Amino acid sequence: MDLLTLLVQSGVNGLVIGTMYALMAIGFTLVFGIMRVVNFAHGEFYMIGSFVAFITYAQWHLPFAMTLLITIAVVGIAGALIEWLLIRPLRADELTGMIATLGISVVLQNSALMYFGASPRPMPDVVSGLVRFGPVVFSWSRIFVIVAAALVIGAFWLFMQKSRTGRAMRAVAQDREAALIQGIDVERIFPFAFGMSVALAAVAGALMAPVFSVSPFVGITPMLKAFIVVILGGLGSIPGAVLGGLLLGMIESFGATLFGALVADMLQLALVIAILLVRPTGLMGRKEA
Amino acid sequence: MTTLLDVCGVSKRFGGLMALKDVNLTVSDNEIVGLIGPNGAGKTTCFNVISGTFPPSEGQITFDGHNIVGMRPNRIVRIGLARTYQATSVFPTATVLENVVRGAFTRSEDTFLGSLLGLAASRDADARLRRHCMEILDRVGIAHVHDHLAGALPYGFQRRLGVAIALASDPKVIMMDEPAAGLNPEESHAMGQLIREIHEAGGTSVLIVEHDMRLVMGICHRLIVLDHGEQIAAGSPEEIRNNRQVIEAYLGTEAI
Amino acid sequence: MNTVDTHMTQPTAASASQRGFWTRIVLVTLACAVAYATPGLLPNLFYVHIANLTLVSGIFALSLWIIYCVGQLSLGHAAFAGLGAYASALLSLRLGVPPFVSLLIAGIGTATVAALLGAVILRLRGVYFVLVTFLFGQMFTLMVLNWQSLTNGANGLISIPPITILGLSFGPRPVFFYFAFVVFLLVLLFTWALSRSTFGRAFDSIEQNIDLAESCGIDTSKYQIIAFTIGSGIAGVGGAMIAHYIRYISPDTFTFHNSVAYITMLVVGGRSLFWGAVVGAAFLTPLPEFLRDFAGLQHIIYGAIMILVLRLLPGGLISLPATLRRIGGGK
Repeated sequence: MDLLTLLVQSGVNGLVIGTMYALMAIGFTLVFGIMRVVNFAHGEFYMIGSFVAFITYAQWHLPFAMTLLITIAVVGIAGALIEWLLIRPLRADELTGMIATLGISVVLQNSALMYFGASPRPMPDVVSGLVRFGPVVFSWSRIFVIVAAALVIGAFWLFMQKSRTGRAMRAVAQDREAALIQGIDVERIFPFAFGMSVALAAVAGALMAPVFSVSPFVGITPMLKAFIVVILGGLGSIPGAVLGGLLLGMIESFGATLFGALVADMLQLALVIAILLVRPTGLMGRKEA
Repeated sequence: MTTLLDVCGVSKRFGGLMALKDVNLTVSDNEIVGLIGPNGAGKTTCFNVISGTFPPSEGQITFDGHNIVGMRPNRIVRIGLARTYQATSVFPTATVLENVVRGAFTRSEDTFLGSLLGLAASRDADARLRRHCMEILDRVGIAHVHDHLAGALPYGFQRRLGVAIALASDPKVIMMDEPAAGLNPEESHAMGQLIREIHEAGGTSVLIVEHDMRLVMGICHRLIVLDHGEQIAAGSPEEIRNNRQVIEAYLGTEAI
Repeated sequence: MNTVDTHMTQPTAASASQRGFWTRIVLVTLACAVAYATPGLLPNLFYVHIANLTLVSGIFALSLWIIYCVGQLSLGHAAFAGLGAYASALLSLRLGVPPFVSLLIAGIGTATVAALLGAVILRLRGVYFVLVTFLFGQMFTLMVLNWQSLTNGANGLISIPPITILGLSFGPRPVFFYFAFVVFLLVLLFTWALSRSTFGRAFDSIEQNIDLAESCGIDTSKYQIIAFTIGSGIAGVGGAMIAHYIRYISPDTFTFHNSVAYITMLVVGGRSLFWGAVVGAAFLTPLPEFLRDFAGLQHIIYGAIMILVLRLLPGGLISLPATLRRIGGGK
């Protein structure tokens, strides 16, 4: 394979994982920004999303668009319920809220393990075939992931900018007291924000299910990456999550091509610590007054 | 009178916002200085810059011969410049007495190893410190609740405890951020009395931010007025009361 | 001034602390007596093994509590344990350092790494600190996997020599019990003394109100680094103990899940007092062993217990008596 092909393919792969990281990080950072809760169970919702997609698409043979809608609905509602039942009473203290999500993560992951078993299941591609640009070959399935993820991110952005609820959510994230004074019902926003956040993670899981495979442990890596992305982009910053996600995807893809996957992983972690040294609030993070 | 605190040409920017613009103020020993101004004038920012919470964008601050720009808050306290907070700020699950003992942390003669091993010398030092702190509680008038948990105290007592904690570090100057906020007129009057007593008994200077004009006019020797981060007037309470600019700044927000 | 006199008179304080001193001596002696008889009383070696693991878990939970005391949660605690384990194992395997000496070196080495890392990351408050300790844990695992020539990668290190002092080998389970017990007791007494020392006063001030602590003249960063260093250093010793006891370590011995398990112990036992960590370790370490027939379920139960305790008994098991009394009194 010549150098050009290698570079272009690394770029496409970088975009695939980058958009996935962005989807993960947006939800993670949204919940932190609005609720001040670090959700250690975020990766488990990615895992649940990929299982829902696996069941509805690979087993029930529903159309993939339907699969995505079901995933969003199921995980979104489950997330809102979890917020209402478990996180609401515990999030007053930052550490306690964090510990609660650790517990939720352990329970969800091991329940999936008991029910589905540990062995990874392959999922068929949603679209197949190859596309050729001169010497460079892509598979349509990768392009599909990029386009679908970009559409979801776009829809989310529109929602946050234009809709009443979206604007209310941004107001709460910016200044909770002020939002309260403006008459925004903060308590009603929280379950909605949490449900939406984990639904985004589930969409990432559903989209990536054909690319990787489906198992109870698939959520761990995306969550780790989401952490790295929000540190890169600044906790609470949604543009930071998108840019950080794409940047990390590119670094990872090109790093793996040039140095191998494990070295690329270590480079990322070193990069994060270096960035925190220079800018403790991340690249696009706000300074706390 | 010697100048203890000297704030010279201090500015503070947050992003594009100019929170403080060329502020100058001094506090000499044995005086009570008031820092007043409408809401959002930059008074609390000014306190935070002086106490080292964040550095000024420009300007010099010296205290008792030390340059304190860039100094960590705990160092600033140790050279004798203490502060209280606008909201109640106590250690909620420690007793009232223990709160004050913590305020005296740097004045303690206790040593780490001594306290770790429970040596007699260390116990004596601790007992002496506690007696000293009981006296402080007595001065601020809450000695009778010394064994209550601080978080369970009534609001007015918590404000007094905040003052006691600051006093325990044996400061030359105390900065008080709205000591009477949220207090009713009687409590507010008693707080003014307390500040005057602290000043008269120990010769401690006080720099005070306060909205309650009766309180400020009653106890301060000098006043400095901020508006939109800028100093618009300085002088005796009498001069400030009749200053046109000050009256204009306050008009529409609250009556002076 | 009446209150001062009645409450702070010297003789009562002195005699009370003297009484406390003798109570403690009696307690420690009693604990030693019970411990001396324990290995003989347990029905078989499996129970001795569980007792040993419980003691080491107690060391991990106590050391994590010290860090929690300054209001920080370390998700890299297992990584520090692993660092100590690998350091001590490699020192004894490759350089022939006697295991007891290598254990001490490992503790000091781990503490040094923690101090350096702490100096860098403790400027980060709350969430960022937690995330970075989490990343540190991941980085440790990756490094152990990658650095094959030193760590033997995923295969781990085998035939690690047991701890031997003056010709006495602490390899056999019942003998190791005594070693683990002595170390546990030392850590327990140290943690107790620490919580009552001037450092303990500074730690608790930081935990309750970090801004006010700073305004009291307490150098909050310094004390946070100290707590992080002490806690992580003790975790390193605990990890080294595991290495010389199990005599085999791999990247799987100390993972994120272990860090979560230590946090669970702290939460379930009770976070407000140091012995809550001990109660949590004593309750949760044997639990999986008795749930062996339900593989997979044990983790779910761990997680569920943690959430239930947070929800229903926020003070942990050590607050149970007070809670029961309140409920009883309410009737």
